[in-house]
Amino acid sequence: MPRDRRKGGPEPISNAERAARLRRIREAARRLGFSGRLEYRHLFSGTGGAQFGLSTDVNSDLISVYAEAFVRDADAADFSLEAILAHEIGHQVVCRNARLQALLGGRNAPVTEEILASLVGSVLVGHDNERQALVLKALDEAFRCGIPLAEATQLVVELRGLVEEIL
Amino acid sequence: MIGKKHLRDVRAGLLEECARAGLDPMRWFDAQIGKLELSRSPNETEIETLKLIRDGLQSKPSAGKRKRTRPRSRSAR
Repeated sequence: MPRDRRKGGPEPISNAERAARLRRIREAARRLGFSGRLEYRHLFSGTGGAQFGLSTDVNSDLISVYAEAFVRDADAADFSLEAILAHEIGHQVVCRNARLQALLGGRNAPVTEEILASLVGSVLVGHDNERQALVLKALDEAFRCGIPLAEATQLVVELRGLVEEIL
Repeated sequence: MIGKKHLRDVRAGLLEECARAGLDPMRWFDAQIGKLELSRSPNETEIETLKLIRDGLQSKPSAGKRKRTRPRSRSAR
């Protein structure tokens, strides 16, 4: 059982395991179309597993992946590493696409970057179970913005259609 | 950030809300999908999204370790 944030950091890993983790992150991120830098930090961050950082140019953008991404990936009932990365790459795509930026705020409904990042991620990932996970994540975000479930579903369905069209 | 909420809790929260709203999620999503499919110009992405939500809500991943398989290739956007 992995130690959590309150009880200390993650279990130590070998240099070979650290390198293997970074290699897996790089392969998955490239497959998902990420341009930018990647790093693996063997610590518990409180982010859920990864974090996107916007830089001055696309190749300098950074995704930091943390140990909890691998803890979650090992749990078949939680978000996979690919889904976590796809969500972060979704942030990069939203931040760097003027048409997606224009959707933020929304005239009739609160469209947040978190919702759009998950929907972009759901378009990028290859497995149906990861698509499902990210669409549910977007729906949960929309619902937590105070929109009733039926309307939140409608919003997510329409937004994902727009995202697919824009990309 | 994807946040710390476990996917199991995301699913459970949405199902709980369906129950609170008096919706049978599978019937309700099937009805929405049916409406879109019968429309004059059905939007495939919208239909796919409703199916992803419906199937995601009823999926019960087995407890334990994830089995890793090769993803379908998809060109980078």
